[in-house]
Amino acid sequence: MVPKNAFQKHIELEKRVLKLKAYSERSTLNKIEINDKKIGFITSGVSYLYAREMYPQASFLKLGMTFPFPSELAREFAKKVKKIFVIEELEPYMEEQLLLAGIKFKAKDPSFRVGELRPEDIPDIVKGKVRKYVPQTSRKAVMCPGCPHRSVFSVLKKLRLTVTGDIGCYTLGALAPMQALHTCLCMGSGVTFFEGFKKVLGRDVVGVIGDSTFVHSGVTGLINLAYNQTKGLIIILDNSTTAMTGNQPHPAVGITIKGEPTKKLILEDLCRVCGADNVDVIGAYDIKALEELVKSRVNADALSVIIVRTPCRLIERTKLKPPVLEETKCKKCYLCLGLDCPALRKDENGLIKINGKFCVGCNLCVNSCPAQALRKNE
Amino acid sequence: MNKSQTINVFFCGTGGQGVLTAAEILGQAALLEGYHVKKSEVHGMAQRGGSVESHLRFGKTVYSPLIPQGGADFLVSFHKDESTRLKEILRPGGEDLTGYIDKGAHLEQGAKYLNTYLLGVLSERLPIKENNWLKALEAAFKNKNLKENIAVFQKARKEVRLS
Ligand code: SF4
Ligand code: SF4
Repeated sequence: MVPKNAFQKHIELEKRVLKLKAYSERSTLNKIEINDKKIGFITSGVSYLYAREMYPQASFLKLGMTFPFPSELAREFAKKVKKIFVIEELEPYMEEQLLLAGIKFKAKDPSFRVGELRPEDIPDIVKGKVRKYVPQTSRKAVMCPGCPHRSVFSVLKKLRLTVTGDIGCYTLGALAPMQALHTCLCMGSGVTFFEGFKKVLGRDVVGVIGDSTFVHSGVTGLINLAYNQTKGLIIILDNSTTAMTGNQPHPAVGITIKGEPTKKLILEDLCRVCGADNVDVIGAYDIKALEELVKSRVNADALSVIIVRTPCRLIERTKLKPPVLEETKCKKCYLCLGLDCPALRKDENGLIKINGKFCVGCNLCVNSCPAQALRKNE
Repeated sequence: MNKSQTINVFFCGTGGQGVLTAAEILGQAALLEGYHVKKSEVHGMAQRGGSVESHLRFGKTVYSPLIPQGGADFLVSFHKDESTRLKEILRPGGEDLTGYIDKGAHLEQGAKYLNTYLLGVLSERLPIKENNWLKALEAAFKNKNLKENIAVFQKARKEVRLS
């Protein structure tokens, strides 16, 4: 909208908000339910259901329309009940509306402004308590056996690089024992954080981002890297799918969401036109070649992109034989466990065991063993 | 258990175990039986083996879609670690079905039928008629090994009755 129209339209918008306020005051979306007059709840949505569950006999002002806030209706409700509690998740929006209208209520403890509410929180809010619930640590998620991301991270970790990361399965590289990914904010930040980190640290930084995330919002960051004449290395972890959310295709896969073939975006061409000086495509499992390539690019005076292209294990399901483990050679250094492969574990006696059902024979652990206790099964 | 009281079933396990399917089937069976039903799912990183929970509540009128802590009548777990972590959801006197995981892991049809096996065990404890269970199973497994699923379900029911 051009500025002149925007000014006029904004005034109309403000008038409309006043009309909506009048509607909110009399709408059947907002209703008063009077039962026990000693206790009244002002609430909406799922919070109403929790309060109703725990206090079935209480009185309620249930709001189906919270903006504009029906303050006159709330005033009417307040006259009918003795004590008022506001049950809402997160920010105290309704509480603030009551404060503005000068309606008295019992405020919830600020600890209830964080996270979702649960039914058992309602009695604690009423009693003025602090929140008891702290989320329990849940099962740790882990990359699949043979995941191509694991190979890449094993290299980045070995080279002790600072890694700016992004959102996808590979974010799991941040967890112990891997701890090879050091930042994660939003989609695209693997590239844009790289730019900032590179400016500050000067060297030994690499940005990583998945293929679908790159298409979604990494490409703008790469254009900026070129435009700002930043030098350094971005790695696109191209497993040819959107794995984390359940294997959806994306423009660089060449298949539509309906499973039909379509125009395929060529990532290497895209990176070049964005201004990358070097674009290499390499597989994930040749660790030595990958290490050499990363070393040659990371601190070079050029903007480089390495596309590590190996399909997700949920697409490529063929398995090779598990490595051979020679127990007598094992030094119990447990370097192999640093890969966090679900197929490898230490048993009760401290011996390394390979789970033949899980192992896909990627041989990454063979590479990690300094004592040659793990050997490729040819 | 009478029909007016709300029955709370808490399902938990890890991604890919069929936790959500099991809750869906119970929800469907309870709907067919004429109950008011609410279901709520909690999952994070389920694709990568993360934890999955489902709250299933049915009765005359159900308000909260989540089971209050200490309010579950049944804990149906697919993974022992998850039971240990989440067992506080059970009410005093509520029943923990974790012990059935081992029995369901050795089915001749294969370990992937664990969800149907546990449903069979649970079904014997709930006021829902057999034909409604079967209809719900049929809706869920129409093209996916329906015969095997029904066989596992009936086997579990029989075992419970004999024990
Ligand atoms: S890396 Fe090799 S020597 Fe070290 S614990 Fe593993 S198998 Fe044994
Ligand atoms: S070869 Fe080693 S790293 Fe690869 S899947 Fe098997 S146990 Fe895991």
